Amino acid sequence: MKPEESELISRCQQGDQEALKEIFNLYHQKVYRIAYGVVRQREDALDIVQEVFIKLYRSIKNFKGKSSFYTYLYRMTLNQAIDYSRKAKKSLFSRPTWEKESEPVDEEIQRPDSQAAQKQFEERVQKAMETLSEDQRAALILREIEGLSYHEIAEVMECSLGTVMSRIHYGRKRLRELLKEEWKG
Amino acid sequence: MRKDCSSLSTLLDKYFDGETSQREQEAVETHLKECPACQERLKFMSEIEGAFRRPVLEALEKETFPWLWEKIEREIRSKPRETLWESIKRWFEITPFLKKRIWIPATVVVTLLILLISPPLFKKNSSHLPLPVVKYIESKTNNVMIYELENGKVTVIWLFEESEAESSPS
Amino acid sequence: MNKTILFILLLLILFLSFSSQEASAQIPTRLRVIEASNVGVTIDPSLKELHGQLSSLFKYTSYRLLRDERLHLSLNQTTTLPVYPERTIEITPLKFHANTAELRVKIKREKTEILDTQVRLPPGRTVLIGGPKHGEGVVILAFSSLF
Repeated sequence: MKPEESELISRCQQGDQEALKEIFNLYHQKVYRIAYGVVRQREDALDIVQEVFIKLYRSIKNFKGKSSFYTYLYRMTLNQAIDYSRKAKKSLFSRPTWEKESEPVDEEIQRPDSQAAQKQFEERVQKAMETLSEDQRAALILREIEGLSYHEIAEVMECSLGTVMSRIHYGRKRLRELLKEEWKG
Repeated sequence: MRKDCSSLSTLLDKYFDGETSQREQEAVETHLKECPACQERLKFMSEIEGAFRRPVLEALEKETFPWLWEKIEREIRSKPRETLWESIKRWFEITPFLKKRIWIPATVVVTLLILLISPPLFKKNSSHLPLPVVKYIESKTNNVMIYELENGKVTVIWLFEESEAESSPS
Repeated sequence: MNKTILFILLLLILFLSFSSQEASAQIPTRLRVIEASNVGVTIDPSLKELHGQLSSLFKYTSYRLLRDERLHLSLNQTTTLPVYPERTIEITPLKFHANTAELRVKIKREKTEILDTQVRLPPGRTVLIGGPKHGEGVVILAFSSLF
Protein backbone atom coordinates (compact mmCIF):
# COMPACT_ATOMS: atom_id res chain seq x y z
CA MET A 1 0.00 0.00 0.00
CA LYS A 2 1.27 3.48 -0.88
CA PRO A 3 2.11 5.55 2.23
CA GLU A 4 -0.32 8.31 1.17
CA GLU A 5 -3.09 5.76 0.86
CA SER A 6 -2.21 4.24 4.20
CA GLU A 7 -2.43 7.69 5.77
CA LEU A 8 -5.80 8.32 4.14
CA ILE A 9 -7.16 5.05 5.47
CA SER A 10 -5.86 5.79 8.92
CA ARG A 11 -7.54 9.20 8.91
CA CYS A 12 -10.74 7.68 7.62
CA GLN A 13 -10.65 5.14 10.44
CA GLN A 14 -10.53 8.10 12.86
CA GLY A 15 -13.74 9.39 11.29
CA ASP A 16 -12.21 11.99 8.98
CA GLN A 17 -14.78 12.52 6.24
CA GLU A 18 -12.34 14.53 4.15
CA ALA A 19 -10.16 11.43 3.97
CA LEU A 20 -13.15 9.44 2.75
CA LYS A 21 -13.73 12.08 0.08
CA GLU A 22 -10.17 11.66 -1.13
CA ILE A 23 -10.61 7.89 -1.21
CA PHE A 24 -13.85 8.43 -3.10
CA ASN A 25 -12.05 10.60 -5.65
CA LEU A 26 -9.40 7.93 -6.11
CA TYR A 27 -11.68 4.94 -6.42
CA HIS A 28 -15.22 5.84 -7.38
CA GLN A 29 -14.70 5.23 -11.08
CA LYS A 30 -13.20 1.79 -10.46
CA VAL A 31 -16.09 0.95 -8.15
CA TYR A 32 -18.56 2.17 -10.78
CA ARG A 33 -16.90 0.01 -13.43
CA ILE A 34 -17.32 -3.12 -11.37
CA ALA A 35 -20.86 -2.22 -10.31
CA TYR A 36 -21.88 -1.44 -13.89
CA GLY A 37 -20.21 -4.62 -15.09
CA VAL A 38 -22.54 -6.55 -12.76
CA VAL A 39 -25.83 -4.71 -13.06
CA ARG A 40 -25.52 -2.98 -16.46
CA GLN A 41 -27.89 -0.22 -15.39
CA ARG A 42 -26.68 3.32 -14.73
CA GLU A 43 -29.01 4.14 -11.82
CA ASP A 44 -28.38 0.84 -10.09
CA ALA A 45 -24.63 1.18 -10.52
CA LEU A 46 -24.72 4.68 -8.98
CA ASP A 47 -26.75 3.38 -6.04
CA ILE A 48 -24.20 0.64 -5.52
CA VAL A 49 -21.30 3.09 -5.58
CA GLN A 50 -23.11 5.21 -2.97
CA GLU A 51 -23.77 2.18 -0.77
CA VAL A 52 -20.20 0.98 -1.07
CA PHE A 53 -18.67 4.22 0.15
CA ILE A 54 -21.16 4.59 2.98
CA LYS A 55 -20.47 1.03 4.04
CA LEU A 56 -16.74 1.62 3.68
CA TYR A 57 -16.87 4.61 6.02
CA ARG A 58 -18.80 2.65 8.63
CA SER A 59 -16.72 -0.50 8.48
CA ILE A 60 -13.25 0.79 7.64
CA LYS A 61 -12.17 0.31 11.25
CA ASN A 62 -12.23 -3.41 10.52
CA PHE A 63 -9.71 -3.07 7.72
CA LYS A 64 -6.53 -4.40 9.28
CA GLY A 65 -4.32 -4.10 6.22
CA LYS A 66 -3.93 -7.86 5.75
CA SER A 67 -4.92 -7.49 2.11
CA SER A 68 -4.40 -4.47 -0.09
CA PHE A 69 -6.99 -1.76 0.20
CA TYR A 70 -8.27 -2.02 -3.34
CA THR A 71 -8.94 -5.78 -2.99
CA TYR A 72 -10.89 -4.98 0.17
CA LEU A 73 -12.84 -2.33 -1.71
CA TYR A 74 -13.39 -4.48 -4.78
CA ARG A 75 -14.66 -7.35 -2.66
CA MET A 76 -17.08 -5.02 -0.93
CA THR A 77 -18.21 -3.70 -4.31
CA LEU A 78 -18.80 -7.16 -5.77
CA ASN A 79 -20.73 -8.25 -2.68
CA GLN A 80 -22.83 -5.12 -2.76
CA ALA A 81 -23.52 -5.41 -6.49
CA ILE A 82 -24.52 -9.04 -6.19
CA ASP A 83 -26.72 -8.36 -3.15
CA TYR A 84 -28.31 -5.48 -5.03
CA SER A 85 -29.06 -7.71 -7.97
CA ARG A 86 -30.56 -10.36 -5.75
CA LYS A 87 -32.85 -7.88 -4.10
CA ALA A 88 -33.85 -6.39 -7.40
CA LYS A 89 -34.21 -9.93 -8.80
CA LYS A 90 -31.98 -8.97 -11.62
CA SER A 91 -30.58 -11.46 -14.07
CA LEU A 92 -27.46 -12.34 -12.06
CA PHE A 93 -29.32 -14.88 -9.96
CA SER A 94 -32.11 -15.85 -12.22
CA ARG A 95 -30.21 -17.44 -14.99
CA PRO A 96 -32.10 -16.72 -18.16
CA THR A 97 -32.41 -19.46 -20.66
CA TRP A 98 -30.38 -18.89 -23.69
CA GLU A 99 -32.89 -18.09 -26.39
CA LYS A 100 -32.14 -17.81 -30.01
CA GLU A 101 -33.80 -14.86 -31.68
CA SER A 102 -36.47 -16.17 -33.99
CA GLU A 103 -36.30 -13.48 -36.69
CA PRO A 104 -33.90 -14.23 -39.50
CA VAL A 105 -30.69 -12.29 -39.36
CA ASP A 106 -28.98 -10.85 -42.39
CA GLU A 107 -25.80 -12.59 -43.47
CA GLU A 108 -24.18 -9.17 -43.35
CA ILE A 109 -24.65 -8.55 -39.68
CA GLN A 110 -23.61 -12.00 -38.56
CA ARG A 111 -20.05 -10.77 -38.14
CA PRO A 112 -19.51 -7.79 -35.83
CA ASP A 113 -17.88 -5.56 -38.41
CA SER A 114 -20.56 -2.87 -38.46
CA GLN A 115 -21.71 -0.68 -35.60
CA ALA A 116 -25.20 -2.23 -35.48
CA ALA A 117 -23.71 -5.69 -35.53
CA GLN A 118 -21.30 -4.64 -32.84
CA LYS A 119 -24.13 -3.47 -30.61
CA GLN A 120 -26.06 -6.65 -31.30
CA PHE A 121 -23.01 -8.74 -30.45
CA GLU A 122 -22.46 -6.79 -27.25
CA GLU A 123 -26.02 -7.52 -26.20
CA ARG A 124 -25.58 -11.22 -26.97
CA VAL A 125 -22.37 -11.29 -24.98
CA GLN A 126 -24.11 -9.62 -22.05
CA LYS A 127 -26.98 -12.12 -22.20
CA ALA A 128 -24.51 -15.00 -22.42
CA MET A 129 -22.61 -13.61 -19.41
CA GLU A 130 -25.81 -13.69 -17.40
CA THR A 131 -26.05 -17.45 -17.84
CA LEU A 132 -22.70 -18.01 -16.12
CA SER A 133 -22.40 -18.78 -12.43
CA GLU A 134 -21.78 -15.86 -10.06
CA ASP A 135 -18.21 -16.96 -9.50
CA GLN A 136 -17.39 -17.25 -13.18
CA ARG A 137 -18.99 -13.94 -13.95
CA ALA A 138 -17.25 -12.15 -11.10
CA ALA A 139 -13.88 -13.59 -12.14
CA LEU A 140 -14.40 -12.45 -15.73
CA ILE A 141 -15.52 -8.97 -14.64
CA LEU A 142 -12.40 -8.55 -12.55
CA ARG A 143 -10.21 -9.88 -15.32
CA GLU A 144 -11.72 -8.32 -18.43
CA ILE A 145 -13.06 -5.04 -17.08
CA GLU A 146 -10.65 -4.28 -14.28
CA GLY A 147 -7.66 -6.05 -15.78
CA LEU A 148 -6.68 -7.63 -12.46
CA SER A 149 -4.09 -10.38 -12.47
CA TYR A 150 -5.07 -13.90 -11.45
CA HIS A 151 -3.31 -13.35 -8.16
CA GLU A 152 -5.26 -10.17 -7.48
CA ILE A 153 -8.53 -11.84 -8.46
CA ALA A 154 -7.74 -14.68 -6.02
CA GLU A 155 -7.24 -12.07 -3.28
CA VAL A 156 -10.52 -10.31 -4.03
CA MET A 157 -12.52 -13.52 -4.30
CA GLU A 158 -10.67 -15.17 -1.40
CA CYS A 159 -9.97 -18.33 -3.32
CA SER A 160 -6.96 -20.13 -4.77
CA LEU A 161 -5.17 -19.29 -7.99
CA GLY A 162 -6.29 -22.62 -9.45
CA THR A 163 -9.90 -21.78 -8.69
CA VAL A 164 -9.56 -18.42 -10.45
CA MET A 165 -8.09 -20.09 -13.52
CA SER A 166 -10.81 -22.69 -13.52
CA ARG A 167 -13.56 -20.07 -13.26
CA ILE A 168 -12.12 -18.00 -16.06
CA HIS A 169 -11.48 -21.00 -18.27
CA TYR A 170 -14.94 -22.55 -17.88
CA GLY A 171 -16.64 -19.17 -18.05
CA ARG A 172 -15.00 -18.42 -21.37
CA LYS A 173 -15.68 -21.93 -22.62
CA ARG A 174 -19.37 -21.50 -21.87
CA LEU A 175 -19.41 -18.13 -23.63
CA ARG A 176 -17.79 -19.62 -26.72
CA GLU A 177 -20.37 -22.40 -26.81
CA LEU A 178 -23.24 -19.94 -26.53
CA LEU A 179 -21.84 -17.45 -28.98
CA LYS A 180 -20.18 -19.73 -31.55
CA GLU A 181 -23.00 -19.32 -33.99
CA GLU A 182 -22.61 -15.56 -33.79
CA TRP A 183 -19.06 -15.92 -34.86
CA LYS A 184 -18.58 -17.15 -38.28
CA GLY A 185 -14.86 -16.76 -38.31
CA MET B 1 -9.31 -29.15 -33.02
CA ARG B 2 -6.09 -31.08 -32.85
CA LYS B 3 -5.21 -33.34 -29.95
CA ASP B 4 -2.69 -30.91 -28.50
CA CYS B 5 -5.27 -28.10 -28.70
CA SER B 6 -7.26 -29.60 -25.82
CA SER B 7 -4.12 -30.01 -23.72
CA LEU B 8 -3.28 -26.35 -24.38
CA SER B 9 -6.83 -25.26 -23.68
CA THR B 10 -6.24 -23.74 -20.20
CA LEU B 11 -2.86 -22.42 -21.27
CA LEU B 12 -4.53 -20.42 -24.02
CA ASP B 13 -6.56 -18.51 -21.41
CA LYS B 14 -3.40 -17.82 -19.43
CA TYR B 15 -1.64 -16.70 -22.59
CA PHE B 16 -4.53 -14.43 -23.48
CA ASP B 17 -4.40 -12.91 -19.98
CA GLY B 18 -0.60 -12.55 -19.99
CA GLU B 19 -0.22 -14.96 -17.08
CA THR B 20 2.02 -17.55 -18.69
CA SER B 21 5.59 -18.27 -17.72
CA GLN B 22 8.31 -17.91 -20.35
CA ARG B 23 8.22 -21.62 -21.09
CA GLU B 24 4.45 -21.74 -21.34
CA GLN B 25 4.42 -18.71 -23.63
CA GLU B 26 6.88 -20.36 -25.99
CA ALA B 27 4.82 -23.55 -26.06
CA VAL B 28 1.66 -21.65 -26.90
CA GLU B 29 3.31 -19.50 -29.57
CA THR B 30 4.84 -22.55 -31.21
CA HIS B 31 1.44 -24.23 -31.29
CA LEU B 32 -0.33 -21.13 -32.59
CA LYS B 33 1.96 -20.92 -35.63
CA GLU B 34 0.54 -24.23 -36.82
CA CYS B 35 -3.02 -24.15 -35.54
CA PRO B 36 -5.56 -21.87 -37.24
CA ALA B 37 -8.32 -23.14 -34.93
CA CYS B 38 -6.53 -21.87 -31.82
CA GLN B 39 -5.68 -18.63 -33.60
CA GLU B 40 -9.39 -18.16 -34.27
CA ARG B 41 -10.20 -19.03 -30.73
CA LEU B 42 -7.83 -16.35 -29.45
CA LYS B 43 -9.38 -13.87 -31.82
CA PHE B 44 -12.86 -14.78 -30.62
CA MET B 45 -11.80 -14.39 -26.99
CA SER B 46 -10.59 -10.93 -27.85
CA GLU B 47 -13.88 -10.05 -29.55
CA ILE B 48 -15.86 -11.27 -26.56
CA GLU B 49 -13.68 -9.33 -24.17
CA GLY B 50 -14.11 -6.20 -26.28
CA ALA B 51 -17.87 -6.68 -26.45
CA PHE B 52 -18.00 -7.07 -22.72
CA ARG B 53 -15.73 -4.15 -21.85
CA ARG B 54 -16.91 -1.54 -24.37
CA PRO B 55 -20.37 -0.83 -22.89
CA VAL B 56 -18.89 -0.51 -19.40
CA LEU B 57 -16.16 1.89 -20.48
CA GLU B 58 -18.62 3.90 -22.57
CA ALA B 59 -20.95 4.18 -19.60
CA LEU B 60 -18.08 5.34 -17.40
CA GLU B 61 -16.95 7.88 -19.96
CA LYS B 62 -20.40 9.43 -20.12
CA GLU B 63 -20.92 9.36 -16.36
CA THR B 64 -20.57 12.58 -14.41
CA PHE B 65 -21.58 11.14 -11.00
CA PRO B 66 -23.96 14.02 -10.29
CA TRP B 67 -24.19 14.87 -6.63
CA LEU B 68 -22.91 11.43 -5.69
CA TRP B 69 -20.40 12.61 -3.11
CA GLU B 70 -22.99 14.97 -1.61
CA LYS B 71 -25.45 12.09 -1.18
CA ILE B 72 -22.78 9.97 0.51
CA GLU B 73 -21.80 12.81 2.80
CA ARG B 74 -25.42 13.48 3.75
CA GLU B 75 -26.04 9.83 4.52
CA ILE B 76 -22.90 9.57 6.65
CA ARG B 77 -23.80 12.69 8.60
CA SER B 78 -27.31 11.47 9.30
CA LYS B 79 -26.14 8.04 10.43
CA PRO B 80 -22.42 8.09 11.20
CA ARG B 81 -22.23 4.81 13.03
CA GLU B 82 -23.18 1.33 12.10
CA THR B 83 -26.28 0.14 13.94
CA LEU B 84 -25.97 -3.01 16.01
CA TRP B 85 -27.97 -4.91 13.44
CA GLU B 86 -25.71 -3.67 10.63
CA SER B 87 -22.59 -4.77 12.50
CA ILE B 88 -24.09 -8.19 13.25
CA LYS B 89 -25.11 -8.45 9.62
CA ARG B 90 -21.65 -7.43 8.54
CA TRP B 91 -20.04 -9.97 10.87
CA PHE B 92 -22.18 -12.71 9.48
CA GLU B 93 -21.92 -11.40 5.96
CA ILE B 94 -21.04 -14.26 3.79
CA THR B 95 -19.78 -13.31 0.43
CA PRO B 96 -21.48 -15.22 -2.33
CA PHE B 97 -18.09 -16.67 -3.17
CA LEU B 98 -17.70 -18.22 0.29
CA LYS B 99 -21.25 -19.54 0.52
CA LYS B 100 -20.43 -23.14 -0.20
CA ARG B 101 -17.49 -23.08 2.18
CA ILE B 102 -19.75 -22.00 5.01
CA TRP B 103 -22.99 -23.81 4.50
CA ILE B 104 -21.58 -27.18 3.55
CA PRO B 105 -19.50 -27.70 6.71
CA ALA B 106 -22.21 -25.97 8.79
CA THR B 107 -24.85 -28.37 7.45
CA VAL B 108 -22.59 -31.33 8.21
CA VAL B 109 -22.05 -30.11 11.78
CA VAL B 110 -25.76 -29.43 12.37
CA THR B 111 -26.69 -32.85 10.95
CA LEU B 112 -24.16 -34.53 13.26
CA LEU B 113 -25.53 -32.61 16.23
CA ILE B 114 -29.08 -33.65 15.39
CA LEU B 115 -28.02 -37.28 15.04
CA LEU B 116 -26.29 -37.11 18.43
CA ILE B 117 -29.25 -35.54 20.21
CA SER B 118 -32.17 -37.34 18.57
CA PRO B 119 -31.64 -41.07 19.44
CA PRO B 120 -32.58 -40.66 23.10
CA LEU B 121 -35.73 -38.78 22.05
CA PHE B 122 -36.71 -41.43 19.56
CA LYS B 123 -36.08 -44.12 22.11
CA LYS B 124 -38.55 -42.55 24.45
CA ASN B 125 -41.18 -41.97 21.82
CA SER B 126 -41.11 -45.46 20.38
CA SER B 127 -42.94 -46.94 23.36
CA HIS B 128 -46.73 -47.00 23.06
CA LEU B 129 -47.36 -47.54 26.76
CA PRO B 130 -46.81 -44.64 29.14
CA LEU B 131 -43.95 -45.22 31.53
CA PRO B 132 -45.00 -45.97 35.12
CA VAL B 133 -44.76 -43.06 37.49
CA VAL B 134 -43.35 -45.16 40.31
CA LYS B 135 -40.16 -46.74 39.09
CA TYR B 136 -39.06 -48.16 42.38
CA ILE B 137 -40.43 -48.30 45.95
CA GLU B 138 -39.28 -49.71 49.24
CA SER B 139 -40.34 -49.35 52.84
CA LYS B 140 -38.75 -51.36 55.60
CA THR B 141 -41.18 -50.08 58.22
CA ASN B 142 -44.56 -49.77 56.52
CA ASN B 143 -46.85 -51.52 54.13
CA VAL B 144 -47.19 -49.55 50.96
CA MET B 145 -49.96 -49.21 48.43
CA ILE B 146 -49.71 -47.53 45.04
CA TYR B 147 -52.83 -46.21 43.37
CA GLU B 148 -53.27 -44.32 40.10
CA LEU B 149 -56.22 -42.06 39.46
CA GLU B 150 -58.03 -42.85 36.22
CA ASN B 151 -57.36 -39.42 34.71
CA GLY B 152 -53.65 -40.23 34.84
CA LYS B 153 -52.76 -37.04 36.63
CA VAL B 154 -52.36 -38.28 40.19
CA THR B 155 -50.44 -41.16 41.71
CA VAL B 156 -50.90 -42.06 45.33
CA ILE B 157 -48.31 -43.79 47.49
CA TRP B 158 -49.90 -44.71 50.77
CA LEU B 159 -47.92 -45.74 53.81
CA PHE B 160 -49.88 -47.82 56.23
CA GLU B 161 -48.97 -47.25 59.85
CA GLU B 162 -48.90 -50.47 61.94
CA SER B 163 -52.12 -49.65 63.79
CA GLU B 164 -54.16 -49.05 60.64
CA ALA B 165 -53.17 -52.12 58.69
CA GLU B 166 -56.82 -53.01 58.27
CA SER B 167 -58.27 -49.64 57.21
CA SER B 168 -57.61 -48.16 53.81
CA PRO B 169 -57.76 -44.45 52.98
CA SER B 170 -60.74 -44.71 50.65
CA MET C 1 -11.55 -19.96 5.97
CA ASN C 2 -11.48 -17.94 9.21
CA LYS C 3 -15.22 -17.35 8.94
CA THR C 4 -15.80 -21.08 8.48
CA ILE C 5 -13.81 -21.98 11.58
CA LEU C 6 -15.54 -19.28 13.63
CA PHE C 7 -18.96 -20.43 12.47
CA ILE C 8 -18.25 -24.05 13.36
CA LEU C 9 -16.85 -23.01 16.74
CA LEU C 10 -20.00 -21.01 17.41
CA LEU C 11 -22.15 -24.04 16.61
CA LEU C 12 -20.04 -26.21 18.92
CA ILE C 13 -20.31 -23.68 21.73
CA LEU C 14 -24.10 -23.57 21.28
CA PHE C 15 -24.24 -27.36 21.40
CA LEU C 16 -22.09 -27.53 24.53
CA SER C 17 -24.10 -24.87 26.28
CA PHE C 18 -27.29 -26.69 25.32
CA SER C 19 -25.94 -29.93 26.81
CA SER C 20 -24.66 -28.21 29.91
CA GLN C 21 -27.98 -26.42 30.25
CA GLU C 22 -29.68 -29.77 30.46
CA ALA C 23 -27.12 -30.86 33.01
CA SER C 24 -27.52 -27.76 35.17
CA ALA C 25 -31.28 -27.54 34.66
CA GLN C 26 -33.34 -26.20 37.55
CA ILE C 27 -36.42 -28.35 37.93
CA PRO C 28 -39.31 -26.34 39.30
CA THR C 29 -41.59 -28.33 41.57
CA ARG C 30 -44.10 -27.75 44.33
CA LEU C 31 -44.42 -29.54 47.64
CA ARG C 32 -47.55 -29.08 49.73
CA VAL C 33 -47.99 -30.64 53.14
CA ILE C 34 -51.67 -31.29 53.76
CA GLU C 35 -53.43 -32.44 56.88
CA ALA C 36 -56.43 -34.57 55.98
CA SER C 37 -58.98 -35.39 58.66
CA ASN C 38 -62.63 -35.89 59.40
CA VAL C 39 -62.78 -32.95 61.82
CA GLY C 40 -65.07 -30.41 60.26
CA VAL C 41 -65.83 -29.85 56.60
CA THR C 42 -63.23 -27.34 55.48
CA ILE C 43 -61.16 -27.18 52.34
CA ASP C 44 -58.21 -24.83 52.44
CA PRO C 45 -58.79 -22.30 49.62
CA SER C 46 -55.29 -22.88 48.27
CA LEU C 47 -56.14 -26.57 47.78
CA LYS C 48 -59.09 -25.89 45.48
CA GLU C 49 -57.34 -27.31 42.43
CA LEU C 50 -56.56 -30.55 44.28
CA HIS C 51 -59.91 -30.88 46.01
CA GLY C 52 -61.59 -32.85 43.26
CA GLN C 53 -58.80 -35.36 43.16
CA LEU C 54 -58.47 -35.57 46.94
CA SER C 55 -62.18 -36.16 47.47
CA SER C 56 -62.28 -38.86 44.81
CA LEU C 57 -59.32 -40.60 46.40
CA PHE C 58 -59.91 -40.20 50.12
CA LYS C 59 -62.85 -40.29 52.54
CA TYR C 60 -61.66 -37.27 54.53
CA THR C 61 -63.90 -34.27 54.91
CA SER C 62 -61.35 -31.67 55.86
CA TYR C 63 -58.09 -30.68 54.12
CA ARG C 64 -55.78 -28.11 55.67
CA LEU C 65 -52.59 -26.78 54.06
CA LEU C 66 -49.73 -26.92 56.55
CA ARG C 67 -46.91 -25.96 54.26
CA ASP C 68 -46.43 -24.86 50.67
CA GLU C 69 -42.94 -24.87 49.17
CA ARG C 70 -41.88 -24.07 45.64
CA LEU C 71 -38.63 -25.84 45.01
CA HIS C 72 -36.09 -25.40 42.26
CA LEU C 73 -34.25 -28.67 42.30
CA SER C 74 -30.85 -29.22 40.76
CA LEU C 75 -29.78 -32.50 39.23
CA ASN C 76 -28.03 -34.87 41.64
CA GLN C 77 -28.40 -32.42 44.50
CA THR C 78 -30.50 -33.46 47.48
CA THR C 79 -32.99 -31.07 48.99
CA THR C 80 -34.03 -31.90 52.53
CA LEU C 81 -37.13 -30.47 54.18
CA PRO C 82 -38.77 -31.13 57.50
CA VAL C 83 -42.35 -32.24 57.18
CA TYR C 84 -44.84 -33.04 59.89
CA PRO C 85 -44.86 -34.97 62.14
CA GLU C 86 -41.10 -35.21 62.94
CA ARG C 87 -40.33 -36.45 59.51
CA THR C 88 -38.00 -35.20 56.84
CA ILE C 89 -38.26 -35.59 53.11
CA GLU C 90 -35.19 -35.85 50.89
CA ILE C 91 -35.65 -35.19 47.20
CA THR C 92 -32.86 -35.85 44.70
CA PRO C 93 -33.47 -35.28 40.97
CA LEU C 94 -31.65 -38.01 39.10
CA LYS C 95 -32.59 -37.15 35.55
CA PHE C 96 -34.39 -34.46 33.61
CA HIS C 97 -34.99 -35.49 30.08
CA ALA C 98 -37.74 -35.06 27.49
CA ASN C 99 -39.53 -32.79 29.97
CA THR C 100 -39.81 -35.50 32.61
CA ALA C 101 -38.02 -35.41 35.92
CA GLU C 102 -36.93 -38.61 37.62
CA LEU C 103 -36.70 -38.10 41.36
CA ARG C 104 -35.53 -40.14 44.29
CA VAL C 105 -37.71 -39.45 47.29
CA LYS C 106 -36.92 -40.61 50.81
CA ILE C 107 -38.99 -40.02 53.88
CA LYS C 108 -37.26 -40.43 57.21
CA ARG C 109 -38.50 -40.45 60.76
CA GLU C 110 -35.47 -39.25 62.68
CA LYS C 111 -32.80 -41.54 61.28
CA THR C 112 -35.08 -44.34 60.18
CA GLU C 113 -35.89 -44.51 56.52
CA ILE C 114 -39.57 -45.23 56.19
CA LEU C 115 -39.89 -44.78 52.44
CA ASP C 116 -37.45 -44.93 49.54
CA THR C 117 -38.97 -44.46 46.12
CA GLN C 118 -38.05 -43.34 42.64
CA VAL C 119 -40.77 -41.55 40.69
CA ARG C 120 -41.13 -40.06 37.23
CA LEU C 121 -42.71 -36.63 37.18
CA PRO C 122 -43.93 -35.49 33.77
CA PRO C 123 -45.55 -32.09 33.30
CA GLY C 124 -48.83 -31.64 35.13
CA ARG C 125 -48.36 -34.70 37.31
CA THR C 126 -48.94 -34.93 41.08
CA VAL C 127 -47.64 -37.63 43.36
CA LEU C 128 -49.35 -37.92 46.75
CA ILE C 129 -47.46 -39.63 49.53
CA GLY C 130 -49.66 -40.07 52.53
CA GLY C 131 -50.41 -42.04 55.60
CA PRO C 132 -48.42 -40.80 58.61
CA LYS C 133 -50.67 -39.74 61.44
CA HIS C 134 -50.98 -36.10 62.38
CA GLY C 135 -53.39 -34.86 65.01
CA GLU C 136 -56.86 -36.19 64.25
CA GLY C 137 -55.92 -37.08 60.70
CA VAL C 138 -53.04 -37.93 58.43
CA VAL C 139 -50.39 -36.06 56.54
CA ILE C 140 -50.40 -36.11 52.76
CA LEU C 141 -47.46 -34.79 50.86
CA ALA C 142 -48.53 -33.48 47.42
CA PHE C 143 -45.58 -33.32 45.09
CA SER C 144 -46.27 -31.62 41.70
CA SER C 145 -44.30 -30.61 38.65
CA LEU C 146 -44.31 -26.93 37.76
CA PHE C 147 -42.90 -27.38 34.27
